[in-house]
Amino acid sequence: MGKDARVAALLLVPLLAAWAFSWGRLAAYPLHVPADGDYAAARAVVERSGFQSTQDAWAVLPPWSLRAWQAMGDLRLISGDGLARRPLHRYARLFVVVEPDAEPHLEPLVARLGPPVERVEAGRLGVWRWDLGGPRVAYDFTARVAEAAVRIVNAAGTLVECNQPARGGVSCAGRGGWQRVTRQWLLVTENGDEALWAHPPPPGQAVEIAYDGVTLGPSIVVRAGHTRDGADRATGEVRLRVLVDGVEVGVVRRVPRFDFVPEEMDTRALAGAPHRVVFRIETDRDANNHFAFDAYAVADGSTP
Amino acid sequence: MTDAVAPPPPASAPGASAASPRVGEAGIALALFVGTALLVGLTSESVGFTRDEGYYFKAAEDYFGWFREWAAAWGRGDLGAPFSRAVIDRYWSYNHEHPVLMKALFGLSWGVLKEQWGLFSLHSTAFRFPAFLAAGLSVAFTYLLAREFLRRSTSVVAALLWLSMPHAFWHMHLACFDVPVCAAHTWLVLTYVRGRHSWRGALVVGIAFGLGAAIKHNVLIVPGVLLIHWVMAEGSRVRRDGAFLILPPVPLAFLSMAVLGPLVFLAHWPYLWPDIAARYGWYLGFHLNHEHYPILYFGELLTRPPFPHAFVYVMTAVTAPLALCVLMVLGTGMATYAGLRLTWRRYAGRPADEVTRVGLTSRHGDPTGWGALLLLGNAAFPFALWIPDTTPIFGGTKHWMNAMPFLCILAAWALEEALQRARSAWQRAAAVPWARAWGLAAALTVLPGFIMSARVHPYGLSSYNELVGFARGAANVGFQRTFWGHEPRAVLPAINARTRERGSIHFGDTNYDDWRMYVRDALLRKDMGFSNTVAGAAVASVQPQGEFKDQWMDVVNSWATTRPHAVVHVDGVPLLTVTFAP
Repeated sequence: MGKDARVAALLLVPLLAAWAFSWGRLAAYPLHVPADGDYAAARAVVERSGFQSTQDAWAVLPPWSLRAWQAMGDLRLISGDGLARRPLHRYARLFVVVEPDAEPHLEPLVARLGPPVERVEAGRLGVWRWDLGGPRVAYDFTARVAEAAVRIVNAAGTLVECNQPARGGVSCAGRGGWQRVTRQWLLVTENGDEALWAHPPPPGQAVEIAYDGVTLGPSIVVRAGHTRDGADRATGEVRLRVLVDGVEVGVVRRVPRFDFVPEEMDTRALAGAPHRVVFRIETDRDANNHFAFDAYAVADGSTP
Repeated sequence: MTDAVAPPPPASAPGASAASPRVGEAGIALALFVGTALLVGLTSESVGFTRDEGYYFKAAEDYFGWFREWAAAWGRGDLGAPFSRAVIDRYWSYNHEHPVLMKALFGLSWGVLKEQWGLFSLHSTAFRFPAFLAAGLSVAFTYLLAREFLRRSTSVVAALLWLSMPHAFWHMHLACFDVPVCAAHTWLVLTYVRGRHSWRGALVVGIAFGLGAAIKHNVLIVPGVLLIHWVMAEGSRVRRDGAFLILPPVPLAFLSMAVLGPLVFLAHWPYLWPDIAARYGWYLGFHLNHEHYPILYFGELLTRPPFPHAFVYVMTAVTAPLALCVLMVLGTGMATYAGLRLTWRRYAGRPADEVTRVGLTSRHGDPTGWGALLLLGNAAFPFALWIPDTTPIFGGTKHWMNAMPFLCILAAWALEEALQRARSAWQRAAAVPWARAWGLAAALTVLPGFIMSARVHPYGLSSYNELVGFARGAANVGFQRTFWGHEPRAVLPAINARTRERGSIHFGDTNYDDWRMYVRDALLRKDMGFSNTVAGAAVASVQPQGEFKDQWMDVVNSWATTRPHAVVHVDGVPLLTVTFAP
């Protein structure tokens, strides 16, 4: 091969590959974009299945998509972020609206739950359904935060009773607006999820969220972590202790990181009878410690 | 051993360009200028106002006030009044973190063409009009600079490659400085190539440098790049004569840039006149200590330096059309080899040689390595600004966009070199009519960018290329989907139709001055107010990504809804949600 041929090959091979790849992708890409009508069709599929917002939930994958929210946001939806590791005891059935390009998010979900019991096409969307056998929640601490007694304590006892009404919960009189316990959507995951905002107070103090008369099952599930902002700016570890009748059954430790991770605490020995459950949140460095958690007591039954 | 090749065949001979009449070039350049300005102008009214445009609209109107005051003062014979500190400060103090050439042109366009002559129906289009012209100039100058080194059709391809870049095309619509400074940078290098040794040419170089600096600070480094180029490409001619060093003729352009450049810069900016040192110092200080603009990069929200060092290369590789990217790399490689070889041969006392079939030999007889080093240096330095760990986080591709015209010329050069080599190497390739092969190759390379631009318009800032899987692939990988608050324009009719009377809009990243312009252009109802918070608003238009996602969460929480009424999207990737208060 002469020099011209070598140089031509060196220049043309990557260029030919780029042309082929480019034009192939340009031609195929429109097939990846759902039409507006596809979302209405997906909603119709979900509704035909007898979706009940009291016990079913739906999510969309990829989780950044919001067009499905526009079409179906009045039905009970959960964040598509981290769906593959999210505890699902709360739901009887999970519907996932699957958009093109969702494979990286879908594969771990299928690996965890197995194949869906139903897959229905809605234009370029898919509606996949898993029957989870739930709900299996003995007590939902997040949903029932209005029943909790919230206060700021230190070694000497109660400093502040947090009983000022705030949207989704309560705030603490005399403290900044960040010192509250409220159920809200928060950026604890990339696209947001519902959780309890529970910023730890200054060092030496703790915020306590107490629930009385809680009938426990075999475990308490806690998802906890920082918001993106907190993960970027906070410096102190947060400790979330779970106390049942004054006895610690578990502690969740979170250094500032953008990762809303679930943990399960064993309460089999306490199952069946009413208890006082307290979530106690504290840190040694409170600045910018934008922390949140989501918790419930699991009822008897298999874990999805 | 030598890698030098025989002179290229006539079809590619750079000498052919030297023989071409300049009037023909001017005609093509004019066609590119007018065609681009028209294309940009005709596609501009769907492009929403960006944050910076809001500030520049306001500044431009302020500055036009000074011209009006100037005319009035001189009309009554008071020649000094417009130049008093009080008057200057009244009109020129706003937005003094940027020089004012473009903003003054925006203001004059609005004040004269819209307010006095009524040529435009929208205020915003009148403000933007000079930007459309600058876009046309950027394409024409790319052609003319390429034409200094390459034949006509290759130069046209270079210009079209620049126009085809989706991010660049989108920026061409804005009353901002980013495309104008690309035009200015390209023009400055063009004037340097053409006139660096003559007094008249050098004067133009100095003026071009001053005007470029008057647009944006990006060009301040260009003289340094040209100096390095001169040292590498010509500096070896330094001779020793006894105790003295005899320098080769230093281009007059450097003297002109050193003297005329600052004078032009100073003359264009009235705000500096009352206290030049302090005010110019503040301007430099502002840019040396620039605030940070968060940007998503592989799912990580970058909020403070240092940038990942690969950032600029990765962002270019996923936003420029793929075939163009490949040709940029190939052209850069060719230029590096030809340029360093020239430097080495010059310093070794050997004559320059040609290593490519398609030369970059200039009209002035400079060898390929000379042009290669020049284009390479001007393409490289905007990228090099991201090497220091202290470079502020401002992630838009516009910040190194002034490299692109030079890279597009190198890309067009690489494309022709590839085809010429193939033609020489393989008989079958030689049998294909040259014009047909060249036309096909050019179309395969240029068209993807135009297709991508057409698909995402008016959201070109959200364009990603084939490599990452376009906008959807980029969202999956975790790249920034949009910024600058320009997204709501398409949904303004729906907002007008549904928002309650005298209700306020929470406009997310779209700023107060943009809101004013939407109202002024009757794109938003006049009775609608502007609300800084979701709580006080009747409608919220927020960007659900990056650092603005908190505002989307505010909407969800404040109004207890997970159902936006509209989602503005590119290929299904959400850029904006519009939600009405319950």
